[in-house]
Amino acid sequence: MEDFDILSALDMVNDETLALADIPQKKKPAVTRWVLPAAAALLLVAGGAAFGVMMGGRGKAPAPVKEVYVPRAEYEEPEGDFDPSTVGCFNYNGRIYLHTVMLPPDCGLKGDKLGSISMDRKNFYRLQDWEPGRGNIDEVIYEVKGFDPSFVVCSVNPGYGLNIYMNDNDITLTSGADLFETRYHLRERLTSLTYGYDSEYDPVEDKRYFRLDRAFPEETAALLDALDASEPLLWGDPVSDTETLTFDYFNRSVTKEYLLRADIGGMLARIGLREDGLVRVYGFNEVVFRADRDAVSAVIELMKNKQGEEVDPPRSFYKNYEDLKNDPELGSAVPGRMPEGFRENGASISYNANYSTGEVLSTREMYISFSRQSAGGNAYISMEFGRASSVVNEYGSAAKWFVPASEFTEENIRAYSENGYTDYNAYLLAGSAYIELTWNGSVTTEEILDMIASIG
Amino acid sequence: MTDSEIVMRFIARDEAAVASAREKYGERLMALAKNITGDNGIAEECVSDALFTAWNSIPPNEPHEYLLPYLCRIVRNTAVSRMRAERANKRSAAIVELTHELEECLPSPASVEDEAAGNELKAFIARFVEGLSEEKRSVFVLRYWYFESVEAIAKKRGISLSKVKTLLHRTRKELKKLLEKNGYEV
Repeated sequence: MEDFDILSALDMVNDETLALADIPQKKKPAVTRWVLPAAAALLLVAGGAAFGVMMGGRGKAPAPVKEVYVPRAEYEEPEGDFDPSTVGCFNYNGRIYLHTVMLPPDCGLKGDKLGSISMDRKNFYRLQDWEPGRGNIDEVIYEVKGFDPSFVVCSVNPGYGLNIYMNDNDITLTSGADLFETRYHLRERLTSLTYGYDSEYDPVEDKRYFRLDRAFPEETAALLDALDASEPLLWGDPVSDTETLTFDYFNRSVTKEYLLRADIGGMLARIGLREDGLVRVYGFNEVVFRADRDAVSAVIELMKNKQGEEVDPPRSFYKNYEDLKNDPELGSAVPGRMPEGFRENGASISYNANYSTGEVLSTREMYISFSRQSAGGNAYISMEFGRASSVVNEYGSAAKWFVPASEFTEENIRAYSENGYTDYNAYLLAGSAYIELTWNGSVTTEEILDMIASIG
Repeated sequence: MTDSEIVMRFIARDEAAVASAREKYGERLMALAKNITGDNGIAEECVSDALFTAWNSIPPNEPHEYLLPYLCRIVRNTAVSRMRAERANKRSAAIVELTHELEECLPSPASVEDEAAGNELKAFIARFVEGLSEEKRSVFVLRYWYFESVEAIAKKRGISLSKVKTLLHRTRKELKKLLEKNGYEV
């Protein structure tokens, strides 16, 4: 097609479409800021002196304010194995909210009820066709305390936690402050800034975690300033003459990132820092921020050198059954007595402590094992106790099926076979503690029921 | 005066029809012609030619509901023909820019074999455009049918410049992807 044929490409669009497109919208122009710099630029082109006269000879021309529009979220046909239906999203008050993170059920952020979302089965994949109140979930939504519902709302997943949904699309940003301050309230509500060993935050027990904000307040403050002043860039924008932002399909930057976890009064923001000064907020896929390189590099250096206050390193040590019963956090869930005929096999407890002072911060899990001789071989019962909110699976949320100990019946027993052995499991709740009970086929049902009854 | 009333005047061969059409839509038609030609004088000639053509084509056509698009089509064709005739000498900078934008997402000249293939492609593009959300559709049509500048589109829609550019960029990307999936070589 020659160039003028290109101009005829839309020839067959119907008249109604053409007529409707030409109708001016009655909305107020979004901002006047882009008009002012353009006008100022025109005046400058016309002659600096003229501009000086216009301004009375005072002051420089205002720097152009660059706006970045983050497009409204839309469904795109999946590439690879990405399925949008696995991402919880919905239309609330005409805005599209996307699931970003799950917080523990005891985070204390659930606010007032806002409404309900029902699943749009007819347009399950077409976000752009959802009416307000429709989405690919069926849930009641609530405010998140301390945050504006136009940015973030939540739903409750009983026993698992709080689903956080954010509207970070169809918005315009002029600087990082539009996200970090206006929406996240990062500076005002930051309770801790931590990172994990190997520069990746991963809730695996053998990792170590460090806290920066208390040990390095100046570097933290400089980073917050840099985030607020940062320049938003759309994915795909050139960041230099030779480089564009490159991300893999899952939107992970292909350049090494140093991941910070910002706890914002219970809310979580995961922030990736790059040595070139680019900053990314996980879950906010369309935009990266170009921040002051010195401020970002200073924090990266601390992270590389494992600086900061070490927090929550898990430790284990061996105790006996009686000592576990006396643990202030979990002791009340430990069975009041050893099963009849059983002997103690072993017990251990893992906990988090301040690495420097040794102060025990919290108990993580306890493990007890009992056994007895039986005609068919050794019978054993083992128990793992922990705080229910601390249980995570590969998706980062509590996934085990818990039954209150007082309601346990034989039907609650699950059995699995592994390596030729058949063990039985029950997952129980006793107060705020979870108990994973495992036993083999030589343990009788009566013994198990009796043990569970003693837990209460 | 409504579109229908103007059309009735054309049908009745009332010479006031042209004046009525010019009064209601002259400014809009001038803007469109100027977007294409980049020249006031040539644009005025195009509009006059177009209204004359409308006089000769209504009847038998009776665009009661959508008179403006009907007139705009004639103006577009007239203006583009004028530009084609003058392409060796001068071309509107705006048209050059716009052409480059569309080249990102439309098949190369060599891959469109003949008029029938061209019409099939245009029909495909029309279906794509008509299936867009209202905002995207309007912005895309204003840019690539009415040849409006991004600044004019931003003002008309009451949205930011950045939003217009982003909407256009993403829609072109979508069109390209869809064309490639349907066997077109872009």
